[in-house]
Amino acid sequence: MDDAGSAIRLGPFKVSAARAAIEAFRSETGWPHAEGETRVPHIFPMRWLASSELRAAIETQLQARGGIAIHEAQSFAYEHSLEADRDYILTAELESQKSPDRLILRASIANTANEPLLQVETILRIVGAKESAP
Amino acid sequence: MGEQLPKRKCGPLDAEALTRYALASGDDNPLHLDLAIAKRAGLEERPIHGMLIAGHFEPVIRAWRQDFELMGLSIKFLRPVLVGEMFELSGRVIRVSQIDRPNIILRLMAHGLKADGSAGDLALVAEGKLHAAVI
Repeated sequence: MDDAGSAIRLGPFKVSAARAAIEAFRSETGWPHAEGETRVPHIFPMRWLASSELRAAIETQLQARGGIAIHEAQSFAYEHSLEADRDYILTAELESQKSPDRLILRASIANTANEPLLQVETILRIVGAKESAP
Repeated sequence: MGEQLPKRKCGPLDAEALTRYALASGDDNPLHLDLAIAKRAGLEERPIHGMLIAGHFEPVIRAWRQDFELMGLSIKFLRPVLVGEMFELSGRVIRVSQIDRPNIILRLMAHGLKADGSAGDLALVAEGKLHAAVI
Protein backbone atom coordinates (compact mmCIF):
# COMPACT_ATOMS: atom_id res chain seq x y z
CA MET A 1 0.00 0.00 0.00
CA ASP A 2 1.41 3.38 -0.93
CA ASP A 3 -0.75 6.35 -0.17
CA ALA A 4 2.07 8.88 -0.46
CA GLY A 5 0.78 12.02 -2.10
CA SER A 6 -2.82 11.14 -1.37
CA ALA A 7 -5.18 12.62 1.20
CA ILE A 8 -7.81 10.94 3.32
CA ARG A 9 -10.84 12.83 4.53
CA LEU A 10 -11.89 12.21 8.13
CA GLY A 11 -15.02 13.18 9.99
CA PRO A 12 -17.12 15.10 10.71
CA PHE A 13 -16.76 14.34 14.42
CA LYS A 14 -18.46 16.05 17.32
CA VAL A 15 -15.97 17.35 19.88
CA SER A 16 -16.53 19.30 23.06
CA ALA A 17 -14.79 21.85 25.24
CA ALA A 18 -15.98 20.58 28.59
CA ARG A 19 -15.11 22.84 31.50
CA ALA A 20 -13.43 20.06 33.51
CA ALA A 21 -11.22 19.14 30.54
CA ILE A 22 -10.29 22.80 30.06
CA GLU A 23 -9.35 23.15 33.72
CA ALA A 24 -7.16 20.05 33.57
CA PHE A 25 -5.47 21.31 30.42
CA ARG A 26 -4.87 24.77 31.89
CA SER A 27 -3.35 23.39 35.07
CA GLU A 28 -0.74 21.41 33.07
CA THR A 29 0.27 24.22 30.72
CA GLY A 30 1.33 26.98 33.07
CA TRP A 31 -1.91 28.89 33.62
CA PRO A 32 -2.36 30.44 37.05
CA HIS A 33 -5.27 29.00 38.96
CA ALA A 34 -8.28 31.26 38.55
CA GLU A 35 -11.58 30.21 40.08
CA GLY A 36 -14.34 30.13 37.48
CA GLU A 37 -12.00 30.89 34.54
CA THR A 38 -13.50 29.40 31.38
CA ARG A 39 -11.09 30.68 28.74
CA VAL A 40 -10.30 27.82 26.38
CA PRO A 41 -6.52 27.55 25.93
CA HIS A 42 -5.34 28.29 22.39
CA ILE A 43 -3.82 24.86 22.00
CA PHE A 44 -6.65 22.95 23.71
CA PRO A 45 -7.81 21.48 20.34
CA MET A 46 -4.73 19.23 20.52
CA ARG A 47 -6.94 17.13 22.74
CA TRP A 48 -9.32 16.59 19.84
CA LEU A 49 -6.48 15.62 17.51
CA ALA A 50 -5.73 12.77 19.91
CA SER A 51 -9.13 11.20 19.24
CA SER A 52 -9.14 7.51 18.46
CA GLU A 53 -10.42 8.08 14.91
CA LEU A 54 -7.62 10.47 13.94
CA ARG A 55 -4.97 8.43 15.69
CA ALA A 56 -6.11 5.28 13.93
CA ALA A 57 -5.82 7.00 10.56
CA ILE A 58 -2.30 8.20 11.38
CA GLU A 59 -1.31 4.79 12.72
CA THR A 60 -2.55 3.10 9.53
CA GLN A 61 -0.37 5.42 7.46
CA LEU A 62 2.64 4.86 9.69
CA GLN A 63 2.29 1.10 9.46
CA ALA A 64 2.08 1.33 5.69
CA ARG A 65 5.07 3.65 5.43
CA GLY A 66 7.12 2.20 8.28
CA GLY A 67 9.04 4.37 10.68
CA ILE A 68 7.96 6.52 13.56
CA ALA A 69 6.37 9.97 13.61
CA ILE A 70 8.15 12.98 15.05
CA HIS A 71 6.13 16.12 15.72
CA GLU A 72 7.80 18.68 13.46
CA ALA A 73 5.42 21.63 13.44
CA GLN A 74 2.02 22.72 14.67
CA SER A 75 -0.18 25.69 13.87
CA PHE A 76 -3.51 27.16 14.89
CA ALA A 77 -5.36 29.91 13.03
CA TYR A 78 -8.47 31.18 14.78
CA GLU A 79 -11.29 33.22 13.31
CA HIS A 80 -13.20 33.16 16.57
CA SER A 81 -12.29 31.99 20.05
CA LEU A 82 -13.78 28.81 21.46
CA GLU A 83 -16.11 28.79 24.44
CA ALA A 84 -16.32 26.37 27.32
CA ASP A 85 -19.11 23.82 27.55
CA ARG A 86 -19.86 23.99 23.83
CA ASP A 87 -19.88 21.29 21.19
CA TYR A 88 -17.97 21.74 17.95
CA ILE A 89 -17.66 19.89 14.67
CA LEU A 90 -14.24 18.72 13.52
CA THR A 91 -13.42 17.62 9.99
CA ALA A 92 -9.93 16.69 8.89
CA GLU A 93 -7.75 15.67 6.01
CA LEU A 94 -4.67 13.52 6.37
CA GLU A 95 -2.13 13.99 3.60
CA SER A 96 0.80 11.66 3.09
CA GLN A 97 3.87 13.24 1.50
CA LYS A 98 7.21 11.99 0.28
CA SER A 99 10.52 13.81 -0.11
CA PRO A 100 10.65 14.31 2.77
CA ASP A 101 8.42 11.69 4.36
CA ARG A 102 5.66 13.47 6.21
CA LEU A 103 2.08 13.16 7.34
CA ILE A 104 0.13 16.40 7.42
CA LEU A 105 -3.13 16.54 9.34
CA ARG A 106 -5.30 19.57 8.60
CA ALA A 107 -8.34 19.98 10.78
CA SER A 108 -11.18 22.46 10.52
CA ILE A 109 -13.33 23.23 13.51
CA ALA A 110 -16.74 24.82 13.20
CA ASN A 111 -19.57 25.52 15.58
CA THR A 112 -22.75 23.50 15.39
CA ALA A 113 -24.19 26.12 13.00
CA ASN A 114 -21.29 25.18 10.69
CA GLU A 115 -19.58 28.55 11.04
CA PRO A 116 -15.78 28.09 10.71
CA LEU A 117 -13.83 28.96 13.82
CA LEU A 118 -10.40 27.47 13.56
CA GLN A 119 -7.88 25.74 11.31
CA VAL A 120 -5.27 23.44 12.83
CA GLU A 121 -2.31 21.88 11.04
CA THR A 122 -0.05 19.16 12.41
CA ILE A 123 3.10 18.16 10.54
CA LEU A 124 4.64 14.82 11.45
CA ARG A 125 8.02 13.87 10.05
CA ILE A 126 8.31 10.14 9.45
CA VAL A 127 11.71 8.88 10.52
CA GLY A 128 12.90 5.55 9.17
CA ALA A 129 10.19 5.23 6.54
CA LYS A 130 10.41 2.43 4.02
CA GLU A 131 11.31 3.51 0.48
CA SER A 132 12.49 6.89 1.71
CA ALA A 133 13.30 9.28 -1.04
CA PRO A 134 17.05 9.79 -1.61
CA MET B 1 8.42 47.00 17.56
CA GLY B 2 11.18 45.11 19.30
CA GLU B 3 9.49 45.18 22.68
CA GLN B 4 10.49 42.15 24.70
CA LEU B 5 8.02 39.99 26.57
CA PRO B 6 9.01 39.23 30.15
CA LYS B 7 11.05 36.03 30.18
CA ARG B 8 9.65 33.14 32.14
CA LYS B 9 11.54 30.14 33.48
CA CYS B 10 9.52 26.95 33.76
CA GLY B 11 10.16 23.57 35.30
CA PRO B 12 11.91 21.40 35.95
CA LEU B 13 9.09 19.00 35.07
CA ASP B 14 9.10 15.47 36.41
CA ALA B 15 7.71 12.31 34.83
CA GLU B 16 4.45 12.72 36.75
CA ALA B 17 3.91 16.12 35.10
CA LEU B 18 4.24 14.47 31.69
CA THR B 19 1.76 11.80 32.72
CA ARG B 20 -0.71 14.46 33.84
CA TYR B 21 -0.27 16.35 30.56
CA ALA B 22 -0.78 13.11 28.64
CA LEU B 23 -4.08 12.63 30.44
CA ALA B 24 -5.16 16.24 29.90
CA SER B 25 -4.18 16.36 26.22
CA GLY B 26 -4.68 12.77 25.12
CA ASP B 27 -1.09 12.68 23.83
CA ASP B 28 0.09 9.46 25.44
CA ASN B 29 2.95 8.83 23.01
CA PRO B 30 5.14 6.40 24.99
CA LEU B 31 8.27 8.27 23.93
CA HIS B 32 7.29 10.89 26.53
CA LEU B 33 6.19 8.41 29.20
CA ASP B 34 8.44 5.36 28.99
CA LEU B 35 12.10 5.86 29.86
CA ALA B 36 13.16 2.66 28.06
CA ILE B 37 11.59 3.87 24.81
CA ALA B 38 13.17 7.30 25.19
CA LYS B 39 16.56 5.65 25.68
CA ARG B 40 16.02 3.47 22.62
CA ALA B 41 15.46 6.71 20.73
CA GLY B 42 18.87 7.91 21.88
CA LEU B 43 17.70 10.24 24.65
CA GLU B 44 18.98 10.20 28.21
CA GLU B 45 15.54 10.95 29.61
CA ARG B 46 11.92 11.25 28.54
CA PRO B 47 11.41 14.33 26.35
CA ILE B 48 8.79 16.84 27.48
CA HIS B 49 5.88 17.04 25.02
CA GLY B 50 6.60 19.94 22.68
CA MET B 51 3.01 21.11 22.98
CA LEU B 52 3.29 21.14 26.77
CA ILE B 53 6.12 23.65 26.37
CA ALA B 54 4.27 25.59 23.67
CA GLY B 55 1.17 25.72 25.85
CA HIS B 56 3.07 27.88 28.33
CA PHE B 57 3.30 30.75 25.83
CA GLU B 58 -0.31 31.83 26.08
CA PRO B 59 -0.29 32.53 29.85
CA VAL B 60 2.89 34.59 29.34
CA ILE B 61 1.29 36.55 26.50
CA ARG B 62 -1.91 36.97 28.49
CA ALA B 63 0.02 38.35 31.48
CA TRP B 64 1.83 40.78 29.16
CA ARG B 65 -1.16 42.16 27.22
CA GLN B 66 -4.63 41.36 28.49
CA ASP B 67 -6.08 43.72 25.88
CA PHE B 68 -5.02 41.42 23.04
CA GLU B 69 -6.21 37.93 22.09
CA LEU B 70 -3.93 35.21 20.72
CA MET B 71 -5.52 34.30 17.39
CA GLY B 72 -2.75 32.36 15.68
CA LEU B 73 0.25 30.32 16.66
CA SER B 74 2.72 28.52 14.41
CA ILE B 75 5.32 26.37 16.13
CA LYS B 76 8.41 24.55 14.89
CA PHE B 77 9.93 21.94 17.19
CA LEU B 78 13.71 21.90 17.06
CA ARG B 79 15.29 20.15 20.06
CA PRO B 80 13.86 18.18 22.97
CA VAL B 81 13.82 19.38 26.57
CA LEU B 82 14.09 16.42 28.91
CA VAL B 83 12.46 15.48 32.19
CA GLY B 84 14.35 17.20 34.99
CA GLU B 85 15.43 20.11 32.80
CA MET B 86 14.12 23.66 32.88
CA PHE B 87 13.16 25.79 29.92
CA GLU B 88 12.86 29.52 29.42
CA LEU B 89 10.24 31.29 27.32
CA SER B 90 11.02 34.55 25.62
CA GLY B 91 9.53 36.67 22.90
CA ARG B 92 9.54 40.03 21.18
CA VAL B 93 7.31 42.08 18.96
CA ILE B 94 8.36 41.81 15.33
CA ARG B 95 5.45 43.61 13.65
CA VAL B 96 2.57 45.87 14.55
CA SER B 97 -0.18 46.66 12.09
CA GLN B 98 -3.68 48.05 11.87
CA ILE B 99 -5.94 45.93 9.67
CA ASP B 100 -9.51 46.39 10.87
CA ARG B 101 -8.06 46.56 14.38
CA PRO B 102 -4.60 46.58 16.00
CA ASN B 103 -2.53 43.46 15.38
CA ILE B 104 0.76 42.32 16.88
CA ILE B 105 3.07 39.63 15.54
CA LEU B 106 5.38 38.03 18.09
CA ARG B 107 8.48 35.91 17.65
CA LEU B 108 8.46 33.40 20.50
CA MET B 109 11.21 31.05 21.63
CA ALA B 110 11.73 28.35 24.20
CA HIS B 111 15.29 27.47 25.19
CA GLY B 112 16.35 24.59 27.34
CA LEU B 113 18.31 25.76 30.36
CA LYS B 114 21.67 24.37 31.37
CA ALA B 115 22.32 23.25 34.94
CA ASP B 116 23.97 26.61 35.69
CA GLY B 117 20.83 28.43 34.55
CA SER B 118 22.25 29.74 31.30
CA ALA B 119 20.35 29.35 28.04
CA GLY B 120 20.95 26.09 26.22
CA ASP B 121 19.59 24.80 22.94
CA LEU B 122 16.68 26.46 21.19
CA ALA B 123 13.91 23.92 21.73
CA LEU B 124 11.19 25.53 19.68
CA VAL B 125 10.42 28.71 17.83
CA ALA B 126 6.97 30.10 17.18
CA GLU B 127 5.13 33.03 15.71
CA GLY B 128 2.11 34.36 17.53
CA LYS B 129 -0.59 36.58 16.01
CA LEU B 130 -2.54 38.79 18.36
CA HIS B 131 -5.61 40.92 17.70
CA ALA B 132 -6.88 43.66 19.91
CA ALA B 133 -9.60 42.19 22.07
CA VAL B 134 -13.16 43.19 21.27
CA ILE B 135 -14.59 44.77 24.41
